[in-house]
This record gives sequence, C-alpha cells and structure tokens, in this order.
Amino acid sequence: MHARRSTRRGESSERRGAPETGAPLSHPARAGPHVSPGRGVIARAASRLTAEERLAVLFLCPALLLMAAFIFYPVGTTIVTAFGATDKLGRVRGFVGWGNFRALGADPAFWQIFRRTFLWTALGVTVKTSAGLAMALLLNLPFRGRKVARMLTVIPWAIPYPISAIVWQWTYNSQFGLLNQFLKSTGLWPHPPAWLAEPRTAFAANMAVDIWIGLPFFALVFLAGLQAISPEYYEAAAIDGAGVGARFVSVTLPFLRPVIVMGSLLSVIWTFNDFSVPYIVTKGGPMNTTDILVTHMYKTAFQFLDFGPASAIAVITFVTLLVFSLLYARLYFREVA
Amino acid sequence: MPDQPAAVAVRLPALRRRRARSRRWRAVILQGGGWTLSGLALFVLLFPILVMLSTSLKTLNDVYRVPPSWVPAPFTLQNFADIWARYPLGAYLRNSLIIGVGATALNLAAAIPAGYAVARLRFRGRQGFMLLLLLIQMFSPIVVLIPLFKIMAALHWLDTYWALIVTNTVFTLAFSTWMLASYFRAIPAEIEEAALVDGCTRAQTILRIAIPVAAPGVVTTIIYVFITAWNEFIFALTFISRTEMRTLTVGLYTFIGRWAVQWHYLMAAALVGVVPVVILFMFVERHLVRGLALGSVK
Amino acid sequence: MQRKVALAAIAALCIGLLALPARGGGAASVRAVWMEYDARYNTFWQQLKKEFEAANPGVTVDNVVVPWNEGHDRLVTWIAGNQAPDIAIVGTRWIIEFNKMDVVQPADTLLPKAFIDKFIQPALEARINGRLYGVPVALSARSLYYRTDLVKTPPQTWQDLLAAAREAAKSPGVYGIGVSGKKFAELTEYVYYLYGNGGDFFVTNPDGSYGRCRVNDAAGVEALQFMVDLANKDKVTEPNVGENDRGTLQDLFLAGKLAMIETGPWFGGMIQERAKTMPFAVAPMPHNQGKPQHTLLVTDSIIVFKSAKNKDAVVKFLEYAYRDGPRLEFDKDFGMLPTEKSVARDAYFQTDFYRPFIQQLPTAKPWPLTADWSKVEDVMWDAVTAALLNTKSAKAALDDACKEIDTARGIK
Repeated sequence: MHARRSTRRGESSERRGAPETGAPLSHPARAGPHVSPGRGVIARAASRLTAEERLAVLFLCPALLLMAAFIFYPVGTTIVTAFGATDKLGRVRGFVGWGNFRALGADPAFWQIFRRTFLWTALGVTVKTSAGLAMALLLNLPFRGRKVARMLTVIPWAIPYPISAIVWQWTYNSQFGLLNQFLKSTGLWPHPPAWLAEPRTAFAANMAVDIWIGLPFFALVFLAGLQAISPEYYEAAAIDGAGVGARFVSVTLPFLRPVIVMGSLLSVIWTFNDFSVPYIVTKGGPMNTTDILVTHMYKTAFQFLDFGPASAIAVITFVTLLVFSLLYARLYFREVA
Repeated sequence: MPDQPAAVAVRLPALRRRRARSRRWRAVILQGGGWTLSGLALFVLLFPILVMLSTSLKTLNDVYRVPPSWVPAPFTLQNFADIWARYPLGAYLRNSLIIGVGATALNLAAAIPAGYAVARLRFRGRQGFMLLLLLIQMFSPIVVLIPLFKIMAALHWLDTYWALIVTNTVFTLAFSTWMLASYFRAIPAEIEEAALVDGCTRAQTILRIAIPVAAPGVVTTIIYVFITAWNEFIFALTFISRTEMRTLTVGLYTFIGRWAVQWHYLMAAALVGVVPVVILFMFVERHLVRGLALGSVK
Repeated sequence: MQRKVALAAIAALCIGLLALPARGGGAASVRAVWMEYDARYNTFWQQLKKEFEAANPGVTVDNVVVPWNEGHDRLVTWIAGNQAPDIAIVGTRWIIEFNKMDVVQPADTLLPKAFIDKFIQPALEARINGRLYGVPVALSARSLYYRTDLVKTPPQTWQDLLAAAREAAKSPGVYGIGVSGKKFAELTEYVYYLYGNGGDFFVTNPDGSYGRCRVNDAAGVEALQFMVDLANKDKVTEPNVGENDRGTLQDLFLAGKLAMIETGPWFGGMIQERAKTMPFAVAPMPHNQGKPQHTLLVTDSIIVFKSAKNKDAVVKFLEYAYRDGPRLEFDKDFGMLPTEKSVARDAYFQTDFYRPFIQQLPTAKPWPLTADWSKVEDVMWDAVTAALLNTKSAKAALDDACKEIDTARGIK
C-alpha cells in the first residue's frame, strides 16, 4: 500500500530530494527527453521529480484524467450512499453508519448469495482459464486453416452478452430448444434434464453460458502470450532432450505465468460481477437460487428502490475483490518487479 | 551417431528418407489433430451460433415448431431482408461502429503512454497506479450507473457518441494498460537504447519500435476494446434514448417484445452484428504471430 | 514535440467536450417515453406524433421507445438522474413507487373533468384515494383460451377445468393446461386461482389501506394447492413447469401443444398472426365451485411528470391522442380492451372473442396497489415456484411468503 499513498503525494516528493533534470543518470537511455536549455526553467521550477517521473506523469495523464472524471466521482458517491439512508430517488437523506451493512449481514439469504458468488466465480474462472489455455495451444499449432479456426473462436465473444443469454435461454428450453433435441437425437444424453427448471441444473446452465462467453477472451489473451515466447527457448529445451510435455512445463508455463495470473485475476473480477448472464437466463431464479451478488444488488436498487442497501452491497463486493486482489497481486508484482 | 565414414555414407540417404517420411507423418497428424480437436472445441463453442443460423433462416412459425428441427422448412432469406427494411439496422450498425472505433482509439491513446510508463519508466507509485486501475474494475458498471448518468447529463453528452466512447474507454483501461505494459516490458532494452542513442525521442521510440514489436499485445487490446464497446448494453440503453442514436445491442434488444420475442429477426440481426467484428479480427489476426515484428526491427 | 502532441490531444478533448448538442427543447416540446409492447409500437407513436405536430405547429413531440422489460429500470435511472421525461407509459403499479419519489403530477389536476369522464370505471385503476394520478392507456382482463376441438364445453369451475384438462391431455402430444413456474415480469397464474377462490393478498383495513398478508389463509393455500396438483398430481400441465413463463406457454399453445392457457386479449392477435387455422375460443376465467368469479385486471397508464416544462403542450397532446380514432387503433394494434365508454360501443368489440373479456370487467380485480408490490411479487413468485417444484408444501411456502412480506412492509 505504500506505493499507492505515494502516488497521491506526488507533489510533495520535493521533500525527498529527487535528482534534477540536468543531472546525468547512470544509463543514457533513461536520461529522458533531450531538454533544451530554455525549457529547463519551467521544468525545474515545477517540481523536483526526476525526468523519468515527469515523463511518467505526462504519459499517465490521459488515463488518470479519464478515470478521475468518470470513475472516481461515481464510485465516491456510491461509497457515501452505502452509509446513508436514501429516499426512493437514491438521494441520501441521512446517515445510518453501518446500518445498511448490518441489515445485510442479518439476512441469511445474503450469506447464501455471497457463498454462491464465490462458487460461481471459482468454477467459472478455473474452467475458463484452463479451457482457454488448451484452446490457445490448439490454435497455436501450425495447421492450415488456423486463421479460420481463430476467427471462429472469437465469434461467441462478438455477440452482446444479453443477446447470448437470451439465445441460450431459448436453447435450454426443453420444448423449443435445440440443445435437448440434439442430445436426444444423437443419443449423447437420452433423457436430458429441463435445464432451467431446477435450481442445480439452472446454476450449471448459467455457469455454462458464462464460460461460453468468456472462453474466447482467454483463448485470445493466451494466444497473444504464446507469441511472445521466442522459439529459441523451445529449441534449447528440445536440444536438452525435453519432450512436448516437458517443454510445456519448463518453457510455456513459466513464460505465460504473468499472463495467466493477471488474466485470471481480471477474470475473477469480471465473473464475480457478471450481471447479464444470471439475470437474463434465469432472472436469478428458480427461487433466487442463481442470484449472485451483482444481480441481487441490481434488484435491490432498481426493483425495490433501496439504493442505500444496494450501495452497501457494492461496497462489500469491492472490499471482497480488493482483499482477494491484494493477496493475488503479491504473486503478480513479484513476477514483474 | 557412428562416425565411421563408410558407414555414414551408406546410412545417410536412408536416414534422410526416414526423416522426411516421419516429418510428413508429423505434418499429417498435426494437420488432422489440429483440425479434429479444434473442430470439436469449435462445435461446442459454436453450437448456439448454429442455432442462430438455423433460426434466422426460418419463418416465425417454423421457429416455434415442437419438436424443433435444425433444417428450416421452408428455407427463407426474408428475415435478413426484413431487418434492413423494417428496422434502422444500418443506423444501429453505424452508431456501434463509431463508438467502437472511437473507444478503441481513445483507449489506445491513453493506454499506450500509460503502459509504456508502467513498463519502462521508474517512478514512485508505479505499483500503486496498476493497483488503482485494477480497483476500478472491481465496481460493476451497474454500481456507477446513476452517478455516471448524472455526469453525462451535466455534460450534455446524453444522446451523443461521446458518452459511450468515454465510458467504454474508461472501463477497458485497466486491461489495455496491463496488456501493453507487459508487452513493452518484454522488449529487449537494448533495442530502445540504441534508438535513443541514435537521436530518437521517446515518442518516436514508442511509435516506431515499441508498438510494432508489441504487436500481439496491441492487437489483443484493439480486439478487446472494440468488442467490449460493441457489446456494451446497460450504458448504451441508459445514455441513449433517441432511436436513431441506438447502438446495435440496444437495437437487438428491441426484438424482445413484451409478449413475444421475434426470434427470426433477432437471430438474423445478431448474426449481421457479428460480421464487423469478424472483419476486424481478420485484419489484425496476422499480427498475432510471433517474431514478425521483432524480425523486421532487427 | 511531445508537448505539442500532448497539448493537441488535450485541446481536442476539450473541443470534443464543448461540442455539445443541446437536448431537444425548442418552442414547446413534449418528451414522451413509450414502453414498447411490440414492433408496431414505434410506428404507432411516430404516426401520432406526425399528425399531432401537423395539427399543432409550434409543438414538437420527442418520442423515446424503450423495451418494456427494461422500461421500469430505465425510468428509475432517468428520474434519479434528474432527466425525467414529460410523460411516460407505466405499469399502473409503478405510479405508487414514483409517488414516493414525488415526481408524478396527478392527471386530474391537468385534465378537465369531461376528459376523465370518458373512461369506463374499471379502467380508472390509477385513482388512489379519490385522486387520479394517471390516464389509462391499456386495459386487459385475463381469460381462458381453449382449443374448441379438444375442449367441448368451456369450463366454468375448477372442477370443470380439471376434467377438461384431463380429457384434452388424452390427445397425443397435447398437454391439458399451461402453468408457469419461471419468474416473470408479472405474477400470473397464481393470481387467477387466488382471486377465483375468493382469496386476496392483503387484509383490508377499515380505512381502506392494506394490512396483513393473507395469502396463507385457507383460500390462498387451496388455490396454490390446486395449481400444484394440476402440475404434479394430476399431471395435466406441460412438463417442467419451472422452465416456462407466460411467454413460452403462449408459444406452446401456438405450436399446438397446449389445450388451454390463461392469458390476456393480445393473444388473440398472436393467434391470428401465427396460427390462423387454430380452432379456439375464449371463456371467462374459471372459479372455484361456490366462490364468486373474479379475474385479474391490469392497466397501464400515462403519467405526467412534475418536471414537465410545458404542461399545456402535454395536455394538448393527450387530448389529441385520446380521441376515439387513435384509441381504437391502439386497442386494435396491441390487442387491448377499450378504456373509453365510446370506444367500447364500437362494433369491433362486440364479437365472441371480446365478449368474455368485457363481461368480466365489472367484477375484475387488479393486483394490490401498493408501493411494495415489486417485493411482494418477487416473494410470491418464489413461493409459487417452491411449491411447484415440491421444495415446500403449499402451506409452508405461503406461510414463509407472508412472513417475509409482512416484515418487508413493516407490518407486525
């Protein structure tokens, strides 16, 4: 967390006595842009950041500006609302401290949904990551028509989530949907269940849709990652006598590790917050057994107009993901630092 | 390998022939295996797409046949004609395209420098910045919907392209910055240093060296941002109310009526909506190949 | 060089920021939000807008069409973001919610008495404590559609219904009656059986307000039990009720797989469109033997928002839209029942199809008009599904539902 604090205290870094622009650094490449003497006045007067740091600020500016304008304020408002009593318009009318959170904690349904969200996320991310990796390896093999195969892989992702969800909902129907008809007629599953009719199969059905939508992304990201591995490493391993499997473990996996770690972290966040799929395919039913935190939050806000508790759920989601990410991020930053 | 010259001279051609044969076999197995496994995976993946294809070629009555059949009876292309004639599908596509391209461009404009900074420059708060990007991802768009809506209203950006371009940019910034940073980091420092010593500015280094070498990362970012913006629903539904400004996703949703879903139109239009994404992918896919850029730089 | 690039980028961003197309507005404008029923919807309101603007130069109408399923949530967002439209079509129940947000301008403060007197009594659901908040735009009552080739005499009581379903289910590939167990935008079948058994959702207090939840009394439990038995004991419904909502039930009927279904007047149009040759007829909603007959009545209303700037323009538009001509066309296009006395007299509604609907209107009951209806509906759906899927007995499911509803409403 130290790093984070220092970002905000950027201006006060003068106290730390950072080196000046003109001072030569050990490595010529890191000396920063060529500074003509005239500009030096402004630069030196502005702050005592290193040349690199000033450049970094310039480079980070667009991203930071966008986020400050369009994310920080909305998120801030939400956090404030979580601690307030809201009217039906979402305006905060008073403060209830931890009241909203306590009410959520007292509701057994909330804990059920919370646990279910973990299950949903764990299963989803595991399958997406492993299947995505497998798919990427497949698509990396040199076979003719690979380009077409890659193109076809992207298609599920290219359909808007709500539309995919609706198409799947239709396909899952035991009377009209082609899934059960296909399973029955090919003999793969002579008596398939009515997927959306029972809680457990409905959960699995939702899971399948979420995985289906998320798989192309992973395949693509891992595929891109595989391109960054220089073939020399494979050749070296082959010379050392490593077979295909051993090459995978000793070359591919280590190189892909940062991608896998970061990709799965992002996937955890996205899957945790996946709204369209459970909401549209089953509307959180039957009997709210497919409700996850984000659909529950949506209902609380828009159906019941309880914006305070809904914001509280948002904060809980955020804190949960933050804690998880911090644990996970240690892995990542250790890789990269 | 035995190094008696005579024995070698005898065995070499035979060895070469055997090697050539095994190489051919390997190629065949690779070809067949690649396609079989991919084919299987693709079939599972594309099952709903096949459903969509089949449905889009049916008449509405045929869609509701119980039990359903894969083969349309009668086969009709009328749906594809209808969606263009009866609905402003062209306008929807145009809007989605503008927003997709705009968001991609804006995102790259912000993420390339930011990614480069995270990868190459040493500055305090570097890890903090990455963490900040990640934190932003943790809020579902639904959470920020109403406050963001108020911001857009205050900026008079409702019913304009800007609202969605900016929103889609902001929500994909974390991924693109990370992706680009990891690719920039993988570029050997010597190449850049050589360029800088030769008199290039940082900007030129980035443009002429870093980006081409990081091509797979840039391509992945482009695809990711474009598809995310193309598919986005909740913000598009909330910020845009005029019919002619609707995006494709919102337009598709209007086929879902209060009492019935016009499946035949919905599927046809959804398939049409996939085409631009596929075209984009076809253009950039060749950069998803290793070594290409590195080689050209050297 | 980089600085110039950076400055140029920032400048471009600022220019983009400032290139703001202002919103609508002009002389007098009416911003209307219409919740889409189906594809013809947009055409109807666009046509009306054109005619209105031609007849009233100086007033423009800005039509915004939103898919019905997203309509409520979008309106909430727009209202919360201070971008409420001038008028909007809403499910009448939402009016109470929006009243709590204090954004609704009651209709009777704007429209003359003569205008309001045009409506038939049952349509004026939006009248709360004597104050009319919304103008009725769509009215439906629910009836029983049945296949005349599979069901010989229209069932009047539940006992008849069961017998007819059993008889019809004997035909191959046909299910007797449709029952839905999947959560849907509206609480459907259970209400028909509840009201048909003399039951109700809440105890009515002497002052007219709603008291304790009473679906778990004898009438309510019997109603749910009958539904559950239809599906699980007598097995005369379609299989896997948990995966079907009213939409798929309608599709099943149109595909010829259901002999009977309980739904609204719009379904007639759908049958015309997709199953023209299907022999069917409509009968009033069956009731339990010995109990009075009540079906469900549902209205949608147009409400005017307090934030509307040009209330005169709004009134002009409403008076234009509510002439008999457009009203008849609306009802025809979207399969609705007439809301005005004059329109109800039109020959179009004096047919065998419409007669059962209209004759039920005087005794038809709406859902309770309470601001907590969303929550109540949600809880009720869960109870119904739980009973249908046999996770709970009917009594237990309804007991739990009542407990939850009473807690949510703050009733002891």
